[in-house]
Amino acid sequence: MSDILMTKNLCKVFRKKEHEVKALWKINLKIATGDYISIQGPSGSGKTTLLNMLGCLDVPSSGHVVIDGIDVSKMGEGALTKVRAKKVGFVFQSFNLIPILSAVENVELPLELTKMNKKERRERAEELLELVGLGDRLNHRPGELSAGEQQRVAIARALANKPAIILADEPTGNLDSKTGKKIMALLEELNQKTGTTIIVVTHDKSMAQFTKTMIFLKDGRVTLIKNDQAGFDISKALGLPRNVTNKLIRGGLDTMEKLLAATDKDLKRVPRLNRQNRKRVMEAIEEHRK
Amino acid sequence: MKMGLVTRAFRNLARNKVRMLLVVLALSISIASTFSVYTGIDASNENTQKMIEKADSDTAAMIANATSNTQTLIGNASYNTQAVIDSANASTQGLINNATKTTQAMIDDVNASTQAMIDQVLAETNETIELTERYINATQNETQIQMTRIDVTNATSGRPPKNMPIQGDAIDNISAMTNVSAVIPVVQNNTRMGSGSFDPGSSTGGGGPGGPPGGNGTGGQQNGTQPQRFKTPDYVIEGLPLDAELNATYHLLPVEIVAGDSLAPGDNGTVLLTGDLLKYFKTEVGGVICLNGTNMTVKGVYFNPYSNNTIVMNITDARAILGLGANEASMLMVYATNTSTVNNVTEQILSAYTTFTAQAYMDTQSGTSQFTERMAEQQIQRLKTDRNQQVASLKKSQTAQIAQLDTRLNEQVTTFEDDLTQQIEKLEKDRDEQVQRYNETLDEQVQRYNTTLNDQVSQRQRDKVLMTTIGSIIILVSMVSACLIIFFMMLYTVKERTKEIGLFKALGFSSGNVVGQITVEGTFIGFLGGFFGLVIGVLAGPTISRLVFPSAAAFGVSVFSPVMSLEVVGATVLLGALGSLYPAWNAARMKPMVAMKND
Repeated sequence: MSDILMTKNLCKVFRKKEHEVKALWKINLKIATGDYISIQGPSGSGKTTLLNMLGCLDVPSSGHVVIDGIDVSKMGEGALTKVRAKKVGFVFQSFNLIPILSAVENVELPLELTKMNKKERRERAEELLELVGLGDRLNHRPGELSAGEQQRVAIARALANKPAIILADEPTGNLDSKTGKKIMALLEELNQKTGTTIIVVTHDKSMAQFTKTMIFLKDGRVTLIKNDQAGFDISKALGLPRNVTNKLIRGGLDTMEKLLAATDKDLKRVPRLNRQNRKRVMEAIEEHRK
Repeated sequence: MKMGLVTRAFRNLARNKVRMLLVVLALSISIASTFSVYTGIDASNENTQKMIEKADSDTAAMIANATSNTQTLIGNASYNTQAVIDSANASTQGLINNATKTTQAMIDDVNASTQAMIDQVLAETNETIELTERYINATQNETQIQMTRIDVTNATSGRPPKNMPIQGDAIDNISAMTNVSAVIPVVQNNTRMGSGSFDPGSSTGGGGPGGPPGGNGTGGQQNGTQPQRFKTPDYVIEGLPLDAELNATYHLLPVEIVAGDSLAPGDNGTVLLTGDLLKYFKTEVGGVICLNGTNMTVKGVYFNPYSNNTIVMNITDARAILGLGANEASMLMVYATNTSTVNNVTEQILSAYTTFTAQAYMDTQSGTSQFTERMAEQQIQRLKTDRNQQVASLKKSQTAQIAQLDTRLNEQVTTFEDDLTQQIEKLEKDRDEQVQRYNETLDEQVQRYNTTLNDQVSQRQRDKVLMTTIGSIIILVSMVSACLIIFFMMLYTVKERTKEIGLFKALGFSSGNVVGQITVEGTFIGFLGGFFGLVIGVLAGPTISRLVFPSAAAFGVSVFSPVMSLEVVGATVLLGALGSLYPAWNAARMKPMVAMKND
């Protein structure tokens, strides 16, 4: 699997009154195509700064950022703007929808930068809204939508130009926990469906749970990279899609029996699931239960 | 993409309707006042232009009028002067004509008198010539007889020799001599007389022999008044025996009687005169002349080309006048029998009388029979020459007189013409001066008119400039405030939409896109302001205009002009673009990271 995103000795230093603040220090990351990543860390750890670098919103003080094989670290404003338009989709904590535009129009916005005509743009925007589950809310203005719905529109907008990566900055920050989880699940789903690499910045562990890879930052340095691949992958173990697995986990221990029953049904549908794997699923459930 | 941009611009403007309304209202008022002032200035300037044009045309009319008047005056002056000149010409021509006429009359007189004189001369001369010719004819036969004549005189010694009277016995003796056919005594006053003899020379006191007798008191009525016409002697008294037989044979008396009658035998106290003597004595046939105290009656007038001063009379009368004795004679004319005996006779006389002088006529006259004829011809020739000379002289005099008259006429004409020329020159000079005065007056007038016009025009132009300046300032202020309204509105909008703009940039919209977005919005606000401002301006324009320009109210305000409306709206659109430039740049400068900031 090739790396869609890579940093090498990425540093960002801010100068405040002859006092250097090392916002990021020698970050070396290799993010594989199709990965679903969360970046976690306390406030001031450099999460957003890193995201800015990765999203070409800011340029590093030193080091390199390579997106889809393009080194953007020494690019000018104009070139960065073009890279952003083609390679990066953004999801913001405060959604940042244009209030005067309807949902579909908001999604169309980045499509204006392509060669698509109006009709194609409209079809693409509707398709995307359909994908995020807002097929019936096309012409609603942001003010007429709930917070979750607004974030879905924002996600649809981020996907519009088929970017190489989607950067989400605290996408669940303004949402209640339930809606936030739904959004995280949606992102996971989209990650699987479209194969788009998604990087989510969050300080919420429960939200980060949805991601495959977790990167921990502290004081501008990467402290830990926790990859599901390295340990036990429950989904793989179950031979189930990740969202089904997640559903199972979200269900909690109280509904274990039901889940198992459901799982039995599911398992019957999946012939490759063997006895050994079944056992390990049970063990994992047990572990969760603890 | 463009459509999206415009749609967004509209919706953005519609976000805060109250704010938009206020901004558009403010803009509208600003633009309306601009429009009103603009139209007001336009109307006022148009009015001023009309007034200038009117002043122009009025002045042109006045100048034309003045020019026409002056032209008339000049025409009159020229006409009057021409009339005077014509009159002077006519009168001068009259004077010249008169002078010419007078001179011509004088010339005619001269011609006539000269012609008369010539005629007279010709008449006289021709008469003389005619007489001479007749005389020659008459005396041609006589010549043969005269060739036998011997003139005998009693010559004395001494200087000058003088003839003494010949006594009567001598006459008888000579008559008795052989070969003598006749002896004829002649008494003449040119012969020295004896005692008490006739001596006109002494009697006239130095006048010489034969001088006029008037000096000694013996003259007649003409005494003392007779001109000294003749050379010595003035006249000759010749007494001849009046015998019919002798006269017939020897032609003693003049053959050519011009007037009156010849002397007849027995005539006493009568004389024959020549034409010249008649004039000398100023008398006529039948008149009386006084000779040495004796009155003699003029019986006739004779003509002899050789002698014009001989008074012919009876010999007895002559003896009495000259104081000779009864038988005495001054000279004897002795005729021989023929020419061959002349010498014989002469010898006889000279031998008998030694003191006598005998002169054969034949000898003295060279013996040629042609003598008399030649003399006559010479005389005629002389007469003709004299006549010709006289005529020439007269003609010369005539020519000279005519030339003089012509010269005088020319001088007169020249004088007249000079006078006329001077007169005309003076008149023309006067006229030219007058014309010049008129023209100068006209020039002054025209200049005054033009000065007045220029003053008026410059006053109007100043008004125009003042009006335009005030109006321009008002328009400028309105425009600047309109621009500022848009500027602050857009600046505020950009500030307000910071995050949105950041989002656009984060999504990949370029700075140009952002600038376009903001500028389109500002321009659109400008357009709205301009449009409503125009509407308000058109509706309320006259009122505003009257408030701003009380003076413009009088001119009337043109309410609507499509071109001007387009200008105003266009200007506002430009102001919108201008006013939103800085805010747009401000927005474009914005970092996309602001989109990341949480509220």
